[in-house]
Amino acid sequence: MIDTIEKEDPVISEEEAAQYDRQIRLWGLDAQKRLRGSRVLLAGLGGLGAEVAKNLILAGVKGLTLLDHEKVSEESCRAQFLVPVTARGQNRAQASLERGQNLNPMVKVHADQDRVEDKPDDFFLQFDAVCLTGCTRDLMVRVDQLCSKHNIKVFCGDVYGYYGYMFSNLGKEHNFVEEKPKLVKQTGSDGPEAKKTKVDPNETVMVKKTASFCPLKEALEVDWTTEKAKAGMKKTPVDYFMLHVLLKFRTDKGRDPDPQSYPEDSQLLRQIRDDVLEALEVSADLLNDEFISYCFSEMSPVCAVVGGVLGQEVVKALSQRDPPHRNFFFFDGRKGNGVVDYFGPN
Amino acid sequence: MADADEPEKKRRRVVELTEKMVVDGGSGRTCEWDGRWNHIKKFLERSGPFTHPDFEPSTESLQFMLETCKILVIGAGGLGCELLKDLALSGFRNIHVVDMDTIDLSNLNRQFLFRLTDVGRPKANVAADFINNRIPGCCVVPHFKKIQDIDETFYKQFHIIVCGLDSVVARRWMNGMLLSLLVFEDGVLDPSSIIPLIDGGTEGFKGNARVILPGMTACIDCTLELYPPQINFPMCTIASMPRLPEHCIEYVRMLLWPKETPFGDGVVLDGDDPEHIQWVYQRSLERAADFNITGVTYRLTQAACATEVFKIASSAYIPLNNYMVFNDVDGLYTYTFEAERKSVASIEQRTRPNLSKTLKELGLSDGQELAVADATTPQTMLFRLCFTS
Repeated sequence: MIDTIEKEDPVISEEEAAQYDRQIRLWGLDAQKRLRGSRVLLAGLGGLGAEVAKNLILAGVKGLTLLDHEKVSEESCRAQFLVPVTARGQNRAQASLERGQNLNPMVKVHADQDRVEDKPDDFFLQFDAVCLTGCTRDLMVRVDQLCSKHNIKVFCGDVYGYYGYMFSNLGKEHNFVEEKPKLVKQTGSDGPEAKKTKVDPNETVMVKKTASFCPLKEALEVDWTTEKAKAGMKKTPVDYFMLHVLLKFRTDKGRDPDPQSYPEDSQLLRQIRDDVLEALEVSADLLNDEFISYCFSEMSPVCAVVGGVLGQEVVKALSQRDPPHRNFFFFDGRKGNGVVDYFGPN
Repeated sequence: MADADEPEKKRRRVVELTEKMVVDGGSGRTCEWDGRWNHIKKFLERSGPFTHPDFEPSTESLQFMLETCKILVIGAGGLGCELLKDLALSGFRNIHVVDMDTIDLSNLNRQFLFRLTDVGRPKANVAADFINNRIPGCCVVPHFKKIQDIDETFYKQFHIIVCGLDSVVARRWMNGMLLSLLVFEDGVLDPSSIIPLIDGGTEGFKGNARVILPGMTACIDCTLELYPPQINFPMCTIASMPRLPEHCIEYVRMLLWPKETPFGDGVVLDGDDPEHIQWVYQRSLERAADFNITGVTYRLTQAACATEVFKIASSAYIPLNNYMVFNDVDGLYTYTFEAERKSVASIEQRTRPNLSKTLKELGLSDGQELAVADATTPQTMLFRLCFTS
């Protein structure tokens, strides 16, 4: 789908050139044109969703559909800045529409109040990229399977208290360009200097590359009993296992850990942690109790960081420029640590 | 674990710090609802092995944060907008913001508190309006001023200062201001006089953030060599608000040259060609005249034409543990390390050549007063010279 969008509207208007000037200088006019032709679906308008919405609308995509069936609650007004205080009881996507649109009138922002799970398969096919937040594991796996069959870029992300993650599946063969400094061969003089190719600081070349991604299902179903997996355990971010626990909680309870039910939810998280680690056949010591007190609600600055990275990954994928993160990004807001790592079949 | 009375000593110190800080009362508004702060309470009412040893989890922390804590945000641009949003959503109510600039069309791709109809208005004012209208109970006070035009009585009132500045000079000035507020009793630093400085910066796809405790940790001057040579300027400054001769030259080099192609289509500016430099020099003088800026010289033009200019885009604010580098394009690299405090001032390094001259050669005589001042610090030091021979 991506390859057909660029020829839609070759000439960039003066208004666009002026407003997007600072980012065009960064990623080039070609990239901006591709963005301009892209339609994106964003599911979930919580703290993280709002950040991604802001970033994609500001970047200048063609259209962004905000899909959310939830109603604006007391907490929603504090979790994100798109929903006005007066909107309590309204649909969250609908309530986010006005401010979202105002961020950039050149983008077609649309609100949809349906549940993601109720959408027919062909609903997703109108988009170039799909970004899922607040969805259950099964739903994410289903949408990922469907979209990658049709070359639609898939992104998932969530924030749990101080922790956050994003996942991407850009397909088995994602093509992109990378700007690299030009290599200049040394001529003339003898000796060791002549053998080295030098880097020309003033000139760059665009190099074509390909990256391969695996489906979400495979990324989550890594077999930890193999020798290779066990050997790589030391370098494996614990966040990956924490994600499994939090996704299981969401599936079992139909919601995320709630501060109002802190004691019961903590107890359940502890139990799920034990079950998950046992089912994956990894050490019970891998994930201690600490994360439990820090995974409730959505911390606003964490949403900003994860939303920033996720937004930028969508921009990179749609513009087919610069190496994408492959395939997970985990952020630990308590330590200020971010890590990119690959999970999937080798 | 420390002694039994260590935690108590620490708790008393935190309470003292709180009491000694000079603050106004809270905003006085009540727009609370049941459970509004439940999620934030969870973080403040729990301790754990990673919480800072001085942090005492309690219900008082939340109260302090909401009603008493005063934060100053410097800069309402790319970083400033993100900072104000995150601070307001996190529950801080007493926020001041300082920015000397007005809004430009090119800001709108990232400075999301501003709309098209705001172009031309002061950034601080528009940002404050937006946040105040959006977050119940939050009170952002704008200051459409240069940081250098405000004195220490203003800065003293804040518990924390967060910077989203676009120049090293401004950072150093702020650093100097906070250092000047430190109180030493018998050579011992009074901790209640410390105002933490959280400094962030971005350039292109990269950004960094760090925490500075003036008097305790490495400050801006201690790590000055980490900053690239200051030959790069934010494009918005160059396009519409030049202040320095360098801005005028960059404007001609980057914007006029490609537009007017004075030596033919596709002819690139050659820093070694005197005719090219002359053209840039003349046009820079004209630009400078438009803005009443002095200092454009042929020499400066030559130097500027030999350099590159980077672009600036915004990035998100990251709370952290001293120093962190965030590089989005090359793959994520985050590394926190503790920068060490330097005990030697950098002013010494710059005037080193003068050390080999005699006082007479420098034009100084016995009994003369010497004032040492620098654009990067609000302090002027006075010396009286006493020649012993």
